[in-house]
Amino acid sequence: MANAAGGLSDAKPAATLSVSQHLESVLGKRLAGASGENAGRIVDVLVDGTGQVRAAVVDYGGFLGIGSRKIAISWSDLRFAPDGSPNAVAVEIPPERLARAPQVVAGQPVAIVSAHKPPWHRAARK
Amino acid sequence: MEQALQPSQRSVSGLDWFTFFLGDIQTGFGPFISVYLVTQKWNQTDIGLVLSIGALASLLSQIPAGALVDAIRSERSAAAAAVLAIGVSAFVIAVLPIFLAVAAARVLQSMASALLGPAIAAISLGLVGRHALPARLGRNARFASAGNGAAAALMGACGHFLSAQAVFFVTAGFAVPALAALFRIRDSEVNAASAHGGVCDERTSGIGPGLMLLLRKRSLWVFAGGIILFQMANTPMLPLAGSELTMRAGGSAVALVAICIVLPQAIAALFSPWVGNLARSIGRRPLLLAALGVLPVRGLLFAFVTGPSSIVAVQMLDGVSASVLGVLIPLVIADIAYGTGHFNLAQGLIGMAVGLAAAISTSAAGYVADRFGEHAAFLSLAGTAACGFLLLTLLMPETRPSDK
Repeated sequence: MANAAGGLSDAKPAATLSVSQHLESVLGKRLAGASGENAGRIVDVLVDGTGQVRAAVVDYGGFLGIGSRKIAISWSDLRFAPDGSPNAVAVEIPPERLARAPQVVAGQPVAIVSAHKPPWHRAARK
Repeated sequence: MEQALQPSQRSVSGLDWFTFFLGDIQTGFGPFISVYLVTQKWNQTDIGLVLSIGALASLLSQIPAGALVDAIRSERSAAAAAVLAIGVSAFVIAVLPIFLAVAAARVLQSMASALLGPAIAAISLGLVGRHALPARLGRNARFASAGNGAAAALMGACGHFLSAQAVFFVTAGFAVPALAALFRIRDSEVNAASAHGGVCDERTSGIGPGLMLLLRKRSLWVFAGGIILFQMANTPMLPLAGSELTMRAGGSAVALVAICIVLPQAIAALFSPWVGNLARSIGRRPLLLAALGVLPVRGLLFAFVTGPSSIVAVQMLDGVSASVLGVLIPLVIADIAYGTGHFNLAQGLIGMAVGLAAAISTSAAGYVADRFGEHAAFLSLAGTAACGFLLLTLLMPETRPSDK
């Protein structure tokens, strides 16, 4: 993205610039399930009113995009770079629970699946 | 106009394989495109927007594409241009997954697809003439279903073992065998007047007068209504059933969803030629009623069965409707529009109505499923299908030409 309003050579830096090669988007990352099986892909990240990351929206299951379900998995149950493999993301929740998790629907309360049930977990809608 | 046309073996097999390879250049553009765009780090809003742009372009191009096929002299050249455009679209989506490029590629692909449907039926009609059309459409549907089934299996494997991006490279590559098959069809054997559904006189040429002429035909309204209700009930059924399988079938869910997609196509490949012959011997109406009669039953069964294997078994009923309608939709349109010179405009008209119905019902069924559960969604789809069946039972005339 070209920056017309002045590049890095501009006189007054507004904030500290930190450079890291280890930052990466989580969009599109594949999840590995409890026994290494494919547990879908991260398609979105949900934050609460304070900006705290609460959940990853994961596109789970399906073939050629048919029959997949969008579910929300608690952020605290995702393990990044498990076993030292930098690109992987693992989730410890058993596949039966992921498969039966309620779908994320725009404009409606989100039910988050997690390994434990924290106080803010909303009951699944019927 | 009623002379028996004798196409060469070369042209016949060219059309066979052309319809087969179309599956390979179209499967990737289905729901799979959103899977691919996620791997390219697209957000959900942009993906939704680009899908809507494609859907809108597809709706808007149906009628102009039909009119174009009626107006041109070489159906084969139009089909070749469309295949080339789809190949280019797939390539652009694979190498340049930025918003503007993907949106433009989707628009190009939608317009090209809108051209291909009428073009194939027009080539068929121009090649074999009206008497042999049912058998030829049966053959088209056989090769198209086999191609769709093979493409779904191939593209699915490709996406699984290689990458989502690879699917679009493979799609672009399949434009080559599709074109090779297309150019085996001898252009000189495609009778232009027959391909357009007769010659229209001066006063009724052009889109406006053509539409007026077609819309005065009551049977076209009834047929369109029945097919619209069928599509509204049919389109959301597979995604809903697939979602049920994902919930209930555990580790085998992905394979079962794949079977739900591929096996009905295999059934259609098996039975379509038989349907073509039946359409000629027993007429169109009983077959249409069979295809629409099966759908409410399928919806009801989906609403009540819960086991994964029963869901897959019920989905096989889709093969019945698919084998009938793959043949009967172009055939009945040809019956109704023959003599007007607007066969392909009529196909575009039905194509737009059907596309609109599918778009509306997918979101409507999704809403019902979210609010009231899958059970209610399947019941409402079964009800919609029953309305379509009733409409055709009460009002649809037999359209088989009296001279057979």
